[in-house]
Amino acid sequence: MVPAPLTDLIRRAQDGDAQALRGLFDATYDDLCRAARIRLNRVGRGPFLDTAALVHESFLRFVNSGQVGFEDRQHFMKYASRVMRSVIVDLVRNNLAERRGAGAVHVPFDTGLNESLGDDAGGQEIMRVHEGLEELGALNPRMAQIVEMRYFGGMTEREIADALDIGERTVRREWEKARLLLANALSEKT
Amino acid sequence: MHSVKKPDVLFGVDPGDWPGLDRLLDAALDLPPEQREAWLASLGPEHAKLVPALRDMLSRAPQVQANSFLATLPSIELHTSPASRAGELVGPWRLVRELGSGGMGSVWYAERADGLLQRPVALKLPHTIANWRGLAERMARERNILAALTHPHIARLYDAGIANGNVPWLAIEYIEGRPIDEYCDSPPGRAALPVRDRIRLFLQVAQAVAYAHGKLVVHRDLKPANVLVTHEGEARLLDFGIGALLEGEVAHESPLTEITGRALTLEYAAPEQIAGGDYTVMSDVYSLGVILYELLTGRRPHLRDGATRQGFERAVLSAPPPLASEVAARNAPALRGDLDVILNKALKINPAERYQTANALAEDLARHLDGRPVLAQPDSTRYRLGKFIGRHKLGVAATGIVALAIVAGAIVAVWQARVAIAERDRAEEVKRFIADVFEEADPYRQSGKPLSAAELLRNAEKGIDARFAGRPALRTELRTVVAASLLGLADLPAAEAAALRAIEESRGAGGDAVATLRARVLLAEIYAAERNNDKLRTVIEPLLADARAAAGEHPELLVRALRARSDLAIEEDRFDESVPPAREAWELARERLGKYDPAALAASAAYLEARYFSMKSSAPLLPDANNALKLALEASNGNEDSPRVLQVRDIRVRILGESGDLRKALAESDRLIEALARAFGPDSPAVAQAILNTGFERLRLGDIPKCLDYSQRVLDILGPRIDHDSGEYFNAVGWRWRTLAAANRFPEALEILTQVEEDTRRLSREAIRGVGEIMVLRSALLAHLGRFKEAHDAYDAGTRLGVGINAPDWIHRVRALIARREGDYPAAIESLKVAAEKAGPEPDERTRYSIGFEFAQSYVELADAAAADPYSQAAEKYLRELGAVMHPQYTELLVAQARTHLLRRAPREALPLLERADAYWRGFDPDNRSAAVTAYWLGRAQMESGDPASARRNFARAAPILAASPLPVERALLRAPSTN
Repeated sequence: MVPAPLTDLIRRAQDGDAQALRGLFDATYDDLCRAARIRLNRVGRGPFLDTAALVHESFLRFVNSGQVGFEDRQHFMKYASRVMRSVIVDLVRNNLAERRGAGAVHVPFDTGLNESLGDDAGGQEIMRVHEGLEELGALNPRMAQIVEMRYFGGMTEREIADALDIGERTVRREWEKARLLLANALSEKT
Repeated sequence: MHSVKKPDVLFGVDPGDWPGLDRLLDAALDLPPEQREAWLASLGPEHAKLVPALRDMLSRAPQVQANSFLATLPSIELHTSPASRAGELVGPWRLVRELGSGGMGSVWYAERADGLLQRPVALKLPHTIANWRGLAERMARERNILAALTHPHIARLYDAGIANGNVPWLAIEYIEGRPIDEYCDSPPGRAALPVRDRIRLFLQVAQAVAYAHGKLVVHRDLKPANVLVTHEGEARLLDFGIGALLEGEVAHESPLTEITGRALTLEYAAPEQIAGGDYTVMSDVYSLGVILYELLTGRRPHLRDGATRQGFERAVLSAPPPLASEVAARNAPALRGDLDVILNKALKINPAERYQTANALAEDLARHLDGRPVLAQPDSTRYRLGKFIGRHKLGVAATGIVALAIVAGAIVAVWQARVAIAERDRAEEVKRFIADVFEEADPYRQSGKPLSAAELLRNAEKGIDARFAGRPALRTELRTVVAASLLGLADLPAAEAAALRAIEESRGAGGDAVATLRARVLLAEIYAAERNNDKLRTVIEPLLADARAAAGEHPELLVRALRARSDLAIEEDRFDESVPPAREAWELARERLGKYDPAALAASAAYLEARYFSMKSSAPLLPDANNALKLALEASNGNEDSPRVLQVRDIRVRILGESGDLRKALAESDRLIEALARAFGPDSPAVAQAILNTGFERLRLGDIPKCLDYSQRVLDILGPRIDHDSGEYFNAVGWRWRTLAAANRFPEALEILTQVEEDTRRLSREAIRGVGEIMVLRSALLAHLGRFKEAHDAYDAGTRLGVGINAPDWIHRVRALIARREGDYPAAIESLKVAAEKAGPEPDERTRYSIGFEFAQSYVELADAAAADPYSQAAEKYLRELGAVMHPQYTELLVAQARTHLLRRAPREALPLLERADAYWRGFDPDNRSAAVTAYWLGRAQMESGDPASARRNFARAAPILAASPLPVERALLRAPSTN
């Protein structure tokens, strides 16, 4: 039996098939990008972007149209987190371009403060994390992946644990360490 | 994946030290904070260099934990207009205007910022990817190879680079031109290109591909959109060099491909590409073959045409394509022979059997143009004609609109509402709940098969009580979320149950009035989707009253309630009543929510729809429909497939159909059907409804094969899903039998119609009149089948019962038809004269055509060419102006015209008409009686033009079928002497 298209891509990506990974990316980027834009377009939106909802909805849409099976949810979300990261960073880039030359802002620690400062700091934080993840990935790929899934994908610790086939405690600890590293790095850069 | 070059120092840590640091960090974090400093001091000298970093990080630990640093993604402001990027500098380029964007990234028209070179470029800006380290080295390597591809028919890759540290760009020669398929059909200032010119143009493409193959570069994504033709008629290939590099015979992934990451364009992909195997030179050859096939025949070798992706893949991987000459819309004779064989070879499923190079393909084409023998060999087996595959498998979509509207709104709006209402931790809780819900669905934790999305939501609902025992407001909210999601998944019974529970619960202790109202509005929407008019009627008035009261704070609830009111009116056929609430909803939404809000867009579509139903001819609504579409597209960022946009497209297509340009409306309808299949699944009722909405127009246009395919598909979708006694199902069945009748497949049509009559009798709604009408329809079919006594009985009984059809001429036309089939032509003429009288002085075009058609047929039988001529000319003019394609009734008209030529002793003028008709039948249904009749007359014309051999062949072909005909007049043909 021919497997559903995305299921097939997911399985091959799990096996390390780079082409399948790209195929997944292409198949889901537009859907997530649109969903994110629509969400951000809305009047009266909240202070944070609920990527978990976006990813879940996207998943439901793909399930509904027969492109992926329900049992592939966790892997779908894992890959969707990466796509989400790309979507968000691209959107932020569109904005940061406007503000180039305004001087970088020191990203404070407290994210609550962040929000009240407005979107400029938010966008900067996202870019810093994105760049920081590249470096983190060189040190410890799994840690970077966890951050990607948590921060960009909005997945819960339990979902991450299942997708990566590790324990929840491990996820929590890796997440903690990653944040320490990133906090370090984010506060140094100016 | 490619290996990443490790940098020297990261996060202030030498990578080599990382494992040690990691372990120490673990150990430190296991300790309570107050003990950490002491522990640090106690570390041995071998860890000395790590201590500062450790201390630094640990010092932040308390803050990190307390403040949920990075716990959530900050929101960002969106600059929606892409024009805001114009003027931006990317590397040495300045962006001028966006040319397009898609899955792979965006393309901009750009100039050099320093004004050095005057030549503008197309600048490709791929999406962000992870793993851009080392990109610079990889790009440099690539760029040299690809920039070396210089060929007059390939768009140059000028340069590639990375800007601002991590933004890759590709500068490509900017080409102004049109895709090759469009160009061939309408070159500037000329008629469509003939076959030889198309081949010559195609040769440019093949040669370009051959050149690149020589440099070991494979394209990998050849398709008409990537082949532009300039105004001067020169072909230019795009996206070349963004393919993979060949090393040896196996394709490696080029890093540039990795960046641009194009999706597989299924329609032009080689079988081995689809199957996930290696991509080689021969794969490009296949794609070239598909392009050439399309240029020469007007269609692709394998048609998607409503098939699922898997179905299509299977076809490509297992079935050889039909011969080009047998499916060509035009120029079929020119394709027979060499070109059939060449295309066949290019499109072989097994790569080893294809042309091994693009060069070989080009050379064979050149030989053909020169008139020299081609090298490709035909297969020994004959191909069957590719018929349209009737999809099997599996119309609550009301007007189609209601369901779509709800689906469009539900999932997105509900989750948004959740976020908007909740404070952060409440939202976090809800989010965790939803996540756990999905968790429960994990098949590995269950025994047995995995749950569907709907099932898991139902389970989730059950869990709400337990988890949120003391939180009634949150419970209601969650139940509403679950109900709305179930609605979005079209599980209406479950959605209704969940919504009812939500209402009941929130009215109980500690209920929140707004939450209750929200749930009630959702329930109304569910009733509307279920088309449960009774229940909707019961709740709608009080709901409207309460929603009005709350409109100050919650206008969206009133908007939705008003829409439900409008829907109810439409369902009850009280169309005039549907317009005011729809208008109020739209105006309120526009004012309070903003025109891009989902509720506002839904209201806009509903307002359009209400007006559509309330007007006799909706053509004046077209400008409004266009505006509504524009709005919906803007709100969906140009996504034509978003549910919101689909909804508007659906209404607009129907309006288009009434506005005159039938072909355009049907083409748009085809696109809509495809989009609906993509969005909701090929078996969804929405697809069936969209097909039905333009069903009768399609019949008029005469694309019978498509109508046959579509009508079966509709029944397959609706059959298991809706009540067979419902109006929709009757509509669907009605279209099916009419399609069969239009295809001259009378026995099958009769069978269905007989069943319809039985069913109509059984349901004594306004059934009496309906039965009368059906009996008269049946009499016509019986006449076609030679069962004249039954036909007369049915006709008489039907007219006695009375027919409701609003066309006084109709029953006389049917009378005439029966008489004609019996061979009583004078009686037929008499009835037609009465029909013409009843039709009045200014009948509409369709009526005039129907009557005229019958006149022509009967006069021809009476050998009265002079009388027949004006009618047949007028009828043909009507069909031509309508833009109709060849179809059975059209062929009968052609035969009638041809016979008048024969009557005038001008057989050579009859020949082309008959050949055209004959070709149609041979392609469509060669065993049909009408095919035999046509073949017979063709034979007569050939006999009279001095080609007895061909004539005898055609008579022989027709004889067995005519001999078995139930109509005496058709059996008599074989006995007729050669004179009329």
